[in-house]
Amino acid sequence: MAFDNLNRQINILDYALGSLWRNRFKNCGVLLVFGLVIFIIASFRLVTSSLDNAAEQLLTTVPDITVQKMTAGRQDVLQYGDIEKIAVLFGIKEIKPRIWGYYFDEVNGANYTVIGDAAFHGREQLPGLSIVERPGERLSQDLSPVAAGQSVISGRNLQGRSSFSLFRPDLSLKSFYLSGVFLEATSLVTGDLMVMEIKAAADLFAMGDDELTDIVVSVGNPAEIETIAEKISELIPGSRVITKKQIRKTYRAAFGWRSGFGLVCLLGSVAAFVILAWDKASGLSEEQMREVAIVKAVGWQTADIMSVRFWESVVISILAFILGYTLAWAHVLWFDGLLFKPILLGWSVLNPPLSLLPVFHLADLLLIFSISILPYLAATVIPAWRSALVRPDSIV
Amino acid sequence: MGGLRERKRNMLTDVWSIGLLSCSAVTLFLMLVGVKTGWRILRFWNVDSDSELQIRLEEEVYLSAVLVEFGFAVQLLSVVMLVLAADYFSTILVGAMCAAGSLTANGYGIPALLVKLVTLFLSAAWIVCHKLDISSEYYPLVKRKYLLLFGILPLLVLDSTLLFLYLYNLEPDIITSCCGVLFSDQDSNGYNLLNVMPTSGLLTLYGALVIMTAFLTHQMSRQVGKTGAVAPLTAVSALGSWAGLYFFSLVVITVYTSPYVYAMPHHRCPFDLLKAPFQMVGYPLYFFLHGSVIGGFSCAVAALVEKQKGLAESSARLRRRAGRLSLIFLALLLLMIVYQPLIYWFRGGEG
Amino acid sequence: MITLESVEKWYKRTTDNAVHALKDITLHIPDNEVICIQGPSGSGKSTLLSIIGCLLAPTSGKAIINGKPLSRLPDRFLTLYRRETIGFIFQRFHLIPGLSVTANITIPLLPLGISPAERRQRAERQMARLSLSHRRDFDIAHISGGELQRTAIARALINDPPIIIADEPTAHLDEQLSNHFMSIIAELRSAGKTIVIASHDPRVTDHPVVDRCLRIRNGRLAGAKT
Repeated sequence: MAFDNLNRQINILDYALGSLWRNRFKNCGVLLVFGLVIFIIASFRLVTSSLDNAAEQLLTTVPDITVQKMTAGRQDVLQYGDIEKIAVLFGIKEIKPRIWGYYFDEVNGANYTVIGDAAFHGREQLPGLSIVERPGERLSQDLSPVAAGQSVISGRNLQGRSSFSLFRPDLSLKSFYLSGVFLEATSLVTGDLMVMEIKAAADLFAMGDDELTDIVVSVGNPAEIETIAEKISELIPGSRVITKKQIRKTYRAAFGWRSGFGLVCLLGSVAAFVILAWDKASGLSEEQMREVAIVKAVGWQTADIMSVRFWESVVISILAFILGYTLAWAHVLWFDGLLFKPILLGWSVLNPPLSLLPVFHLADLLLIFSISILPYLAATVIPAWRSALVRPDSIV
Repeated sequence: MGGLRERKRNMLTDVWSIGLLSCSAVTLFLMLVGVKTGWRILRFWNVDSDSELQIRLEEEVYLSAVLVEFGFAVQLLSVVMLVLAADYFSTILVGAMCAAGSLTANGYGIPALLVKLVTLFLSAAWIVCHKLDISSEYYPLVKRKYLLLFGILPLLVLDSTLLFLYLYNLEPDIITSCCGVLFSDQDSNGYNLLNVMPTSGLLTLYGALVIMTAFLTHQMSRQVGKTGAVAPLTAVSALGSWAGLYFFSLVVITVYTSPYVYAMPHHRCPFDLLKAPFQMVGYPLYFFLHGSVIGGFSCAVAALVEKQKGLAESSARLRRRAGRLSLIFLALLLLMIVYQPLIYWFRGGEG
Repeated sequence: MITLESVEKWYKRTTDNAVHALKDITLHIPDNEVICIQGPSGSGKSTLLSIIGCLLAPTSGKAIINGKPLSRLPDRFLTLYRRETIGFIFQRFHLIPGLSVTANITIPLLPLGISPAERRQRAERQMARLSLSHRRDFDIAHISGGELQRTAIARALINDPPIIIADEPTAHLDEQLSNHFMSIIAELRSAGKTIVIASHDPRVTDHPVVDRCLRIRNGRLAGAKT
């Protein structure tokens, strides 16, 4: 019996395909609009998830625990002595001092992120960031080595030269030479970044010898990160202790919000399409009504005719999905998601030259299905039923 | 990277939330139309009439059936999506390690899931009633099945409301529980949901329930007595037995099977079984569980209505087929429940 | 055998536009008989054909078609019975444009879950019988009037129904095709079918294969002419 039912559905699908072809001009219109709606939703999701991926890339550079000092709700400096206080905790793999600040470049109005890293002396690779060494030499020992991102290099015109200077707070100049360049692939993270020796950063920002902005901690067992973070916050009064997990959640929240907000705006287009679908499904031509009467007269039931309409809707949905999703993929891969990138990337003065890579997620499939295909199928149920109400004796 | 202060934000605009609310809206729409036709049918139905109204109502029976079947499919999707969404939310909610933690982030998550499951089973029961009803020229169940539909609608409204409240009240910086706390065997902080009895007692009780359920279903799925009909008491007992089996299966899967799947004695979670690192073993497991329970319910419902006018043959046929299918699925479910623990013991685990 | 006893049919009975289409129709058609029903437009002929053809159920009275009482059968069951029992040949053939001859012939088989291979086989049998095999894959828009007629007949016969109903089958046909149609009717009669033809064409009513003619007027049957 189940086998008969399967055969019945296959037969009806066969008929539905023929019916779709016979009314191809009307169905083409619906298909194109539907494909466009799916294109928009899928593009949005692909851009979001590729940015999400890029953010995950960023997170490989983030330490397990970052310790900062807060005074009166604002960030303050830590002392090197705080490192010894933390070092007594069991389970810590490594503790490093770090200076992290922002340098405002009056020449081009850009804000650079400056990181003073204790492990960096000009040629070292930093975790998660690929640095290409710049050929050329250090012209003087007074020049501090710097690894810089693409936006810094173009902003300061460092394509053809190695040395440059930045202003200290007292307007004296501190000189640097470009020892390495961050790869363009990491632009989202490194575009506006300068990494230098920690002493050089302290000098640039006129900080005291004993002063730091962050202490970064690596933990042996990831399961213990939260526990150690809690203990650090107890050891250093007034500290703000941030774990990698919390940063990930914040990024997720930010992207999720923007993406969801965008989708809410797009729901209007979905609603319009659903109304169109209802309208199209309701408008049966005389020819189509006659066809329904004929098949009913020769033994088809209402349920069989509804099955035809259902399969027609499913086929249109599948084709529209393939069309929309493929175009969305191409939109993101070859055109960098140019329709939606600005909405999702936000206000940055320096727009990093970021290449988006679309990633397939089953979750996206489910979401596209529930937001577009499901409402479409629901909208065509009642018109499909109404189309099956034609009396078979009307053709006698 | 600027300041990392976590801001309270509304999760309603999250993509998963939109997807879930869309499913809810579609289901509600379909059911409302179904109820509207049900109302007309209850008022005007007269199977002996040949009036155009009666012919129209007979056509509307088809419409409402399609709407309920569609609604059932959407609810099924919605249950899966809710679990997947909860898993995703666990990456945003502080303290939530998995879907269990997300669903307990406020008081609406678990109730929303439970109400969804109840509507799923009731919809399945409606579909069974409908198939039987239209197999008879007399449509003997028509009024009762639409009364059942009227009963399902408020549950769907409740489901949508709970879902909305759950999503609306999700706050990314509220600390929630994780499954290790929720389902653990320690009574340390009062959050334990499943610390109902020791595991050995639970398994013994479960075994007894399986035997009873299988016996009752077997009785129903064969020809019984001279009339060929099943005693109503047997059918009602089977219904209750299957309901109990469903609940206890979930408990056993969570408390007994899942730790072996995760190879971690304190990781007791019914939801992580659906994830890729665990070979998504949850999907076939829950498929067999729900399949067997729905089959069992169908068998019992068919047995209960068999004496209605014109239903003797079709009910008996459904009772036999559904009963056998439910027993096959039950066997497969039990196999999956014990498989991992057995492998563990054969290979020589601890103790 | 077809038996109607005191059959009445009303349309829109409870409204101001009520139509009493059939009044006290009593009719008995034994197996393997060919009968002709004559009547002007609005006489109830179409309604009578529809009841005999299991397209409609009567408002009251008894209707037993091939042993099955249809007196108050819900639409769904009427359809299920009709697909096995009745082959209908419509006045304007009512084939589906855009489909081939084979596809049109096999339309009644689709909801039965019959496989494509078997459908094709059955269609080939009918097409061979009616000399249509050379047109099997042609769109019906590209075949002649006679071929259209034979395609409609093949569709009516595809399920091998015991009862054939033809509604004004020769209304749009020339002499040659009409004669050809009646020769097919004679063949079907030899094959044991019961045939009901609605027609006022003398080429049909006076044909020797017709056993009797019934007249319907204002919803009532007049005396039979044999």
